[in-house]
Amino acid sequence: MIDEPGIFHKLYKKLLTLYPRAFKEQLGESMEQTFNDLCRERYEAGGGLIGFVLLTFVDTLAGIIKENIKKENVIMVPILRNFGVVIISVIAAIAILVSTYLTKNLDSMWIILLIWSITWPLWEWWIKDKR
Amino acid sequence: MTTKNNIQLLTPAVFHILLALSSGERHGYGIMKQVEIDSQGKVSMGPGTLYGSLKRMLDAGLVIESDKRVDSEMDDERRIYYQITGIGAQALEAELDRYKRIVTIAQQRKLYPKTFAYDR
Repeated sequence: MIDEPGIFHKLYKKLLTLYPRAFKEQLGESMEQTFNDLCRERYEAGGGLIGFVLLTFVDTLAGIIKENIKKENVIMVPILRNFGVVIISVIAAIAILVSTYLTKNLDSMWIILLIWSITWPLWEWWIKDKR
Repeated sequence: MTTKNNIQLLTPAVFHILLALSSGERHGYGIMKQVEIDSQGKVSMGPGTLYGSLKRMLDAGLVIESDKRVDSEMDDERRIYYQITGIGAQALEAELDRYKRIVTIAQQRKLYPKTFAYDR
């Protein structure tokens, strides 16, 4: 019978493996127990389990996505930071070379450096804000 | 979400969990049941919402885990209990104060004349 709690317990346990490892290690067992408690309560009350299980799975899936996004952000910030350094430096270098070639003097280099000195702290602030 | 005075506003889930734990330590299922009782069945949260909030609360020091033990009213399985901390109690008190101020403003502006008729 599909409405047996045992099947849902197994499925829920599988679903919990999608949480980030640290989260799973800290709270996975408690989540499983709570799900089993809720299932038992429903089952003993004679209520159908499918609707309840679907809602719980959706709620848990939303939690899994949220926790994984949070984890990804921690990983992405240093990558974004390094990526930003490279991009800003390359743009600044190209701008200095092009302006020096076009104007045949180095005066514009100071303007480029000024722009760079403003852009850099703004980038740092933006990245910091994303943490 | 923070206010201008940097006071942390609690999400509804965090607020209800703190309220449930204010009367004693509970395991996950116990928290869910207490939230349902406190809200007269109007708030119910799934395990994903409950444990996602508990994780953030543990990280923020609003709650702590206590040792695993058996709930004699349920079965012989050992469960982790959660307990409100001093910081958690302060956060709950601050949130309740905020609600109280909002209710006072609502009363002054007569937004709910029927609801607050008994206060006059």
